[in-house]
Amino acid sequence: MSITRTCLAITFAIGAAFVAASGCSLEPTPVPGASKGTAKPLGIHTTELDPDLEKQAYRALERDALRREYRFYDAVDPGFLWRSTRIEQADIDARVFGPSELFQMGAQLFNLPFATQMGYGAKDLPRFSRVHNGKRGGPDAIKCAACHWRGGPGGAGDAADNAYIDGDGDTQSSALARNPRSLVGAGIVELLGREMTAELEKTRDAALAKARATGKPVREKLVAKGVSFGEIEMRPDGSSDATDLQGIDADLVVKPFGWKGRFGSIRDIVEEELLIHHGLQSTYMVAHGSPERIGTFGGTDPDGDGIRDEITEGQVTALTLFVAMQEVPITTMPTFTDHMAMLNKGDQLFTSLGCDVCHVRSLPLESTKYVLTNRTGGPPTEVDLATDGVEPRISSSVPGTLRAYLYSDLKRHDMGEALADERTENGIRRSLFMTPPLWGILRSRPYLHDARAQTLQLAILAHGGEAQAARDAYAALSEDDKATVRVFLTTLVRARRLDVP
Amino acid sequence: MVALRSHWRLVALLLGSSFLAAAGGDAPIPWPHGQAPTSQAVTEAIEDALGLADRDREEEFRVAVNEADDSEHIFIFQSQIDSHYYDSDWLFRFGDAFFTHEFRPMDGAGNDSLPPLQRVHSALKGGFDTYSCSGCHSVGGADGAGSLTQNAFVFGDGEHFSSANVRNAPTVLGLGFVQLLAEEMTAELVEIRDRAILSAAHHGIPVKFPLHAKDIPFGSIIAYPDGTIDASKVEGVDGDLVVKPFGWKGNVAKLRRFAEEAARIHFGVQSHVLALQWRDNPDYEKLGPGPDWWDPDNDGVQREIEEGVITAAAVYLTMLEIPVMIPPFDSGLRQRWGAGAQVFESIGCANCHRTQLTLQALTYREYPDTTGAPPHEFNILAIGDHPRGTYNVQLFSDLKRHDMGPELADAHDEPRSSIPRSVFLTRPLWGLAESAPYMHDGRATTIPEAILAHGGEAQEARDAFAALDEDAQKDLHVYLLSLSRESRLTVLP
Repeated sequence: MSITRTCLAITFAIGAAFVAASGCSLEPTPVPGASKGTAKPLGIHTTELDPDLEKQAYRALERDALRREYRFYDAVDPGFLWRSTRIEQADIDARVFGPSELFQMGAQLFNLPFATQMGYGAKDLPRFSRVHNGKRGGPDAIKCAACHWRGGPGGAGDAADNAYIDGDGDTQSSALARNPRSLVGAGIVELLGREMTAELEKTRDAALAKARATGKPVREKLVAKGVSFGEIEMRPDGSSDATDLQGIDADLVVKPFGWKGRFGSIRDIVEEELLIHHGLQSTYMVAHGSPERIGTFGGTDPDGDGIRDEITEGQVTALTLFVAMQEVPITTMPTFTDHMAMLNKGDQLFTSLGCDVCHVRSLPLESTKYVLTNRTGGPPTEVDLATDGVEPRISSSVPGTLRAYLYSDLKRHDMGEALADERTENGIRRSLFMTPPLWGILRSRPYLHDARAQTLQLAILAHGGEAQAARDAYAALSEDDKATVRVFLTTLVRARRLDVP
Repeated sequence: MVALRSHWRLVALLLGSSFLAAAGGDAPIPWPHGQAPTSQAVTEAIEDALGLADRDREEEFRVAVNEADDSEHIFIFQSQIDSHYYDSDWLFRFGDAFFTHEFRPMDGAGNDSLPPLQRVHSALKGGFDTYSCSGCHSVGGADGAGSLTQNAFVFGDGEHFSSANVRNAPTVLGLGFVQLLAEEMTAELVEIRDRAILSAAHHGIPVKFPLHAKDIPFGSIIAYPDGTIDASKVEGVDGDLVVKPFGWKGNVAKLRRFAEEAARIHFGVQSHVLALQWRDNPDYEKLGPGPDWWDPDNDGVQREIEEGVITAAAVYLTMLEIPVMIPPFDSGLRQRWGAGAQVFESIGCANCHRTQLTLQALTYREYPDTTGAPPHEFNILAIGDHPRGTYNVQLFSDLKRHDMGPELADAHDEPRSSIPRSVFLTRPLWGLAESAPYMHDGRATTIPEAILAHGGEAQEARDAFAALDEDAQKDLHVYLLSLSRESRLTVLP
């Protein structure tokens, strides 16, 4: 049977609306004001969490039904699912799609198995390489969701999902083990980081102005959202002394993403992961990446696999927004009174032991507007995480003030020799790691950068370096008191979601 | 995490007449099986899902208070099972707990001679590549398949990925049916062998009998008047004629052995049954140096898994739902699906991927290893998660080994195995759509890629597929995508 006949059958059976979504027509008829590309939200993913459980359940079953049916479409119209994600930045700029549609297309990309025809892999790399080949990466996975599954959509990876980055392509010990992180609250984390960066830059700029005015070097304490990042000295000639900075690079940009705190923006880390895990190169990266990262074949196909424009700028935007719009974790209380009774004590101990010196309970957030700058000259794309993100979203209990209860200071710390890597990652010292946010922690087992800890207690006891004192204080507690800390941490979860996995 | 789950009720087959439209659109929802589930069915599914989530949540706090609490759910003596202290539902819960339990040092996870999280296995000893069964069976839902990243690297040097054979985790649904089919096939083959021996003795001359089980040919066997046999013409099964349907190479006959072996090579957790074997016949290479028989891996933990837990794991796997066929909704796609079913037969896929095998009897028996007690037994269609299917098991396999050609062959010989590198068991295709990537090492992302990767005995069928016109290839793809599993409403996480 020809594809045309199938399309007719579909038209007959389920109406024109579905055909538009089917992509049966290989050359879509242009509709004035509509998408120029092939991108299409398919209704398989949602930002909503209906409070009515029956509706929530029906919507989940409906989305699963659509997922199955569209998979059949993809069989008769190969590449259909891929094309549904091929969003053009120009369409985003023209506001063809709303936030929920952009989220959906990002989600479709996140869940799509990548094939060679889409640009998966590279000419000079093996089809699959569990240990990465230097900065080029594996490739080691066929879709994002394969390693972000535990604890719900966009979740964490199992120990078996650990990535072995920056290695020799074959030897486990040549690489750095990295457990896939849960993506929860990522947009809020980036916004916090940006606001902190702005605060630090303001202090630096003021110090520089003062130095220029007085003609003498000026030392200033660097503090952002109450977190201290050491001191900086600005000289009248514009140079600076960064030796007393703490937990941040000399550029004063807070980089909350990656276990070592390497990436300041979701867009940067999304492009990096597409590259190293799937060999998919964004148009932007092809133009700006170094051959060490993107390959040496040059031109518009530096990985030499014959596929150009592997990831469009619009796809990067959609995937970035999908990650930024992830739900915000919540806390849920125990139902048993004896567990409830332990909670207060654990909560207090979390402070008195010193855990919250680094795992700072909450940081104030000024704005929930996630603004993504445009790299192609167009207007920025903006979503409001308080209204557009995946439910549950960030909300304020006191009007006019917003706090994100993320349990992190978004700062790098020395974690001691036992936790240290064998070598540096991108110049960041072996024992330095970003404080991972603890919100939703119970849904992201196993713990620590290399997944070495199966349980909360093993994770706590593995702390060293700057956290040694807090760790020792925990270890010195009675068994009953230790349990209260774990009960407290056990309240940090994600919202329940009726879904079809 | 421990799942304290009882049985799923079935949502998808309890169909109503209502035809719900999608939110905000006019197009009808392409419901699996054609119709929307009834309100009652959904309500029950919600109850089941929430009930399970509530129990899990309470358990999380119990584990927070006492980290050993989790281990209590994977502690059950075989003698308790022998004395019928637990019924099948209870064994299911223990097995479920075993499947999701994250093994820790206190449970005996690891091995004193191996570093933590060794992704490449060390020869027969295995690795330490994850903490739980569910850690690598995450694709397509609970008890599903493994992703490419979760591949196991077996029989390696403990360090270099290239030194190992690569194994992708298959889905674990329906395995009790597979074991039962294999047992019946084994009985058929053994019966033929016994008849051959009797015949040879009776006539006083060597006799050659063709071997077949469930209409699948397994070569032939020669019996001599003195009672000896020549198994050199036996095909697709070992000379012992025991059909071994588990493992990509088809080298394990029983679920309990498979569960035990997986726990050993992936978590470094050794069953007490293995320790007892070590006592009688120490296997240093496989189990470790001892010196104490009760702790062969010398990690200071003894009785890491009780025999009862292995029994519970096998019963659990047997009671899981089975994969089902869910054709497309759209009528045009349904036509293609029907055409694809014919292509599957006509180009020869079904020669090895037998569409269905028929069970002769329905009693599943789980025998203990060491106690000599009667087996725990139950009717496999009556007991367990739905759907459970019928006598006719739509497995899409002949449970026989085949030579798949040099391209698919493993890179290395397996120690203590005579199965050639290019020989694999016909992988059952049920549940296929939810278990990508495909082939023993996950090399194929899509179904057409998987078909084209076939070689050896399947070369002809593969070439026939390649020679089909594009539409017929797509029809077959549609058909194979209908091999799926039921939609299961779950509380995430």
